[in-house]
Amino acid sequence: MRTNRSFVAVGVMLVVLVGAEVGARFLEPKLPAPQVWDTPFVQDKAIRIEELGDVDIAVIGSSIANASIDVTMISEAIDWADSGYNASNPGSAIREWGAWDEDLVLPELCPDLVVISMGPRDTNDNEPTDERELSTYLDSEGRRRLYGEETIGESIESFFQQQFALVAIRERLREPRNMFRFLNGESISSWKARLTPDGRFQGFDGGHYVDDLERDRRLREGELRDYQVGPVQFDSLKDIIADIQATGAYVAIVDMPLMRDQLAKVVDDGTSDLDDYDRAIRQLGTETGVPVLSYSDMNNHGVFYADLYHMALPGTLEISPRIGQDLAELFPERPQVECAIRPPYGSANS
Amino acid sequence: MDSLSASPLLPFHSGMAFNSIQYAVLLAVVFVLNRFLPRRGQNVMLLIASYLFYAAWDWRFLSLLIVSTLVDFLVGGAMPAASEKNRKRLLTTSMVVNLGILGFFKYFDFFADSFANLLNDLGFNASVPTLKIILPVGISFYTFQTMSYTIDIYRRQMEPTRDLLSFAVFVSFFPQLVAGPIERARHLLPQFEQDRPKVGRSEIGSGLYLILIGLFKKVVLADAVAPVVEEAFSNSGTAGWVQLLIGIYAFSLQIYGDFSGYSSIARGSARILGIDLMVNFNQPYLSKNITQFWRTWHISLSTWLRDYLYIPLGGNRGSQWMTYRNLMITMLLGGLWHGAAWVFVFWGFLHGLYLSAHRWFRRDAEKGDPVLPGWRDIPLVVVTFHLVALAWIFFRSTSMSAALAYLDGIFSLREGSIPWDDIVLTVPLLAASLILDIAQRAGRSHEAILHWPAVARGVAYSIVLLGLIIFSGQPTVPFLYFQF
Repeated sequence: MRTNRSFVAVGVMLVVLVGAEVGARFLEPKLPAPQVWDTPFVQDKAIRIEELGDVDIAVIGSSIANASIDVTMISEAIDWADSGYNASNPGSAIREWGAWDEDLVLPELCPDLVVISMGPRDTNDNEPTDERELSTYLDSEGRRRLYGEETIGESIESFFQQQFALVAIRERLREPRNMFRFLNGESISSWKARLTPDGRFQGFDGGHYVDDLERDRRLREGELRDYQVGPVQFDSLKDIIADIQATGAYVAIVDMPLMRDQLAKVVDDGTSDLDDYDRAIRQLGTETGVPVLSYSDMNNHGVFYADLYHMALPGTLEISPRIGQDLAELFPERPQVECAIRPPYGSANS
Repeated sequence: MDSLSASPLLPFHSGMAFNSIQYAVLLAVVFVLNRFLPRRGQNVMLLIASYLFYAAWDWRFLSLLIVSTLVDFLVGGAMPAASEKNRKRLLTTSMVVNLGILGFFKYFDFFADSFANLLNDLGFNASVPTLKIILPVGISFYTFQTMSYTIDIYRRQMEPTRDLLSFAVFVSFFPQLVAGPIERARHLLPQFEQDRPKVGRSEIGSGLYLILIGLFKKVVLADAVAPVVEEAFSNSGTAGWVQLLIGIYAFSLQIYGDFSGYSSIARGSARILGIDLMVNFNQPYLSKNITQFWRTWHISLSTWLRDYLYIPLGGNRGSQWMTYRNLMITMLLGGLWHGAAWVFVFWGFLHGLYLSAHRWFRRDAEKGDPVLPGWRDIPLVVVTFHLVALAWIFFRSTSMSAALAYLDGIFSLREGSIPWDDIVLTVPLLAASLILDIAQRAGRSHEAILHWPAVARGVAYSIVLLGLIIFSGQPTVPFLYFQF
């Protein structure tokens, strides 16, 4: 009798668990995959890059490049190019761009032309969060998967995620309100980035520049604290350029325009100023043989910007075709490219 | 001293937590060996396992555990033959060694800091050195446990053991070593001295059930709301009142789920090894007054404080005011036991005040096990819970000023966004905890669900398993009581 009752209890349990799994399988395709990279941006881009395969043009950089450059407009302007991807990652430091390029951009996208798009915001050697951002990226499960460095626990988790939808969506189930909002079509920024298919972040499109002393104070005390243009960032850029050139691909640097006069006030307590940045970027171009494209005529026109350096849609629509035209003139022929070697363990997303 | 200099919480981020794979492996190995070994072999194996378990936290502090064990074994063994004067000396030796270790490792920096602050407040420019000492995990638990052995022998309430091995296992038994229950030698020691009955299917079943429920309480109820608590308490000066309020409810749930979950896993682990550990929690949030709360919350500590502090101080045998004084001293020291910080002392003070006030209004002591509150008791349960929750603000805050800012935020109805995500997460988990407590109280047993009809039992198991599937695999939150 007791054994029979136990069987009934186990049977009920199985029915409930199977029911939950069926429900989870119904929801799974509608929810973002479990996050294994350090940010939803990197996660979405890693998935998309693996889906895309070879492209002609890749853009790398931080949020400045990500928000401001429509790579489709660039490829339209270049005769030999018909595809591109904006592979820049918001919140990333220059040293992270180097790792990201080696991990996915160069081996997976195998671009013929790489556009490094940057501004003074990216080049502060005293940036307090650089180290943390880099190590968060390097330690992310997605990156470790590429190199076969998952822990046993992560491998077990990954196995169960593939077998059971309930495990695959459990991260999302822990935030029920966000899940319902997401299923209703709302944007949940901590789950999924608002990106176009070619990788551009749309979050700044509707913005418009206004003076904001509190924002400027936060920048002065945060990312741009003790502004210094020194070897840390620029040496990393040289390494990145060398890696790209080793594949045979073209490289170009775009010195992004910005609300320069206002930014100059923000960095005025540092050991460097924006003129030092200008000199350093020109010197980088000279030393590496890479053309530096500058659009200083767009500086200080508030209509183009969402804040001090991220472009709103009018700025993006203005600068992207201009970059395309300049690159078309600089690089009239398709180069011979040999794709970089893929990390040894292949996909980071499954 | 450099090698001991680190954050006081550092050791608790490593070690072998009950919700880790390492612990599951250790328990499985010990369980299998325990079934095949004779009693002495079982004790040797349990001692090795316990020392390995402790060394996984920090092997350097194993020496303290061994010193405490040897001192109390020798002191206890020498007492029966000693004269009355020497018995006192022996007891003093035990107290000095145990409280000396505890005092040095747990309280030195606190008193040095407080002394320096006092001198500075008085206008002296004082700088008192602190040692930034790491707190050995579980030290407050095992020193109290060994002290109770010596005190009981001194009071002639038990005979000393002649078996060092059994005594060493009693002090270090791994399921309850780092966070209790603080066992009494009279209850636990004989279980290691005598042959244990063979562990049957029923003990294994109920032991595994206790482990499962403990994991549910820890992983689902406590860890899931940990970010809600962190968000509220780290923004006590700026968060809106709704967020702060949710933060208190979440912390009330977190500390209960965390600690009672730990105790449940400890009892379940011990049970499958044939050892009975005392009940440490008895649905405390269903209490209809504060006295009942302390009869059902951290029972092993509250009864320890009652037997070895409150009653020796005079208990309720003297005048009314003496009783209040004794209650207050007991609760202040109980607060200080939790941690070397003024927030814990104030938490103890508040509970001393509550208990005294309750005694003022109702002098008749309650007897017997608490029963399920009736409908008319609900307002009393709600008020008692909120008094306890109010005191938790001090317990969880990092400083008195942070706690006062927290209270100010709530009572001034500080504006702020409504954290719907936190509410949607916390409220159902509070409800789940309440339902589990009601089921246990109604069934007068922690294993009440085991006796439910098959279908209801199946549904209950499914909810527990689904909760564990969804909420396991998150970043590990250390058991809160490991730091005490």
